[in-house]
Amino acid sequence: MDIVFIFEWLDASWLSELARTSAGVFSMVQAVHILSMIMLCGMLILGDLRMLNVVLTGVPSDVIIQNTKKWIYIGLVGIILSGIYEASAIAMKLATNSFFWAKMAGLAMGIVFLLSVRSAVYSRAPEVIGSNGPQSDAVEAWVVKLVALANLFIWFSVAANGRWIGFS
Amino acid sequence: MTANTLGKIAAVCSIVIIIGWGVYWAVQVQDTMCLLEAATSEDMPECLEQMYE
Repeated sequence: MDIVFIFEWLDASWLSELARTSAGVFSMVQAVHILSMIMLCGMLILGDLRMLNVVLTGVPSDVIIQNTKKWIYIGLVGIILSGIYEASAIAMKLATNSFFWAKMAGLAMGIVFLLSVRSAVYSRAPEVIGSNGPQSDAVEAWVVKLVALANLFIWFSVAANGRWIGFS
Repeated sequence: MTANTLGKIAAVCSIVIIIGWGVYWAVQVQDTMCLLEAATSEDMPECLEQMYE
């Protein structure tokens, strides 16, 4: 499917004009993009490392997962909105950039994985179930750790691909 | 969904992502490193010939 027309439309939009002519606004939005990414990945790393029993082992894992959820969504909205603005400035360049597409694929995969597998598995982790219900409802501990590793890998690749766009 | 089924689905998804995405990403980085090398050297690097084979 040819979706270059979306980039052509974005390239000709008022958003692109604003991004190209206002260096000050662009740098501010870029800062928002990076800070949103830091918040998103920071919250994800915190939850995943807790599930791997690396950090904050004295705090119940369900407390960490519940309290980071809202900030993960805020970070996601922040990176998507600021990302569209940033992309509008170099839309035609990005249309053929393999790292941009790898980043988008990673982002889509990360969001789907986050909302489906990670969310379902973490809510049925042995530690979480242990305090609320029978252990037979719990997913095995090694699966929880595997999900945490996969999630860390996905978001690391999203961040790294984003950086690579700047080099390519 | 039972915990057992969820565990199996999650494990398969995670392994596919780690291996599949890892291989794809490694090849992509390797290709880009090769293109960077080609752009900065006078001779055509071997990796460039292999890339287009």
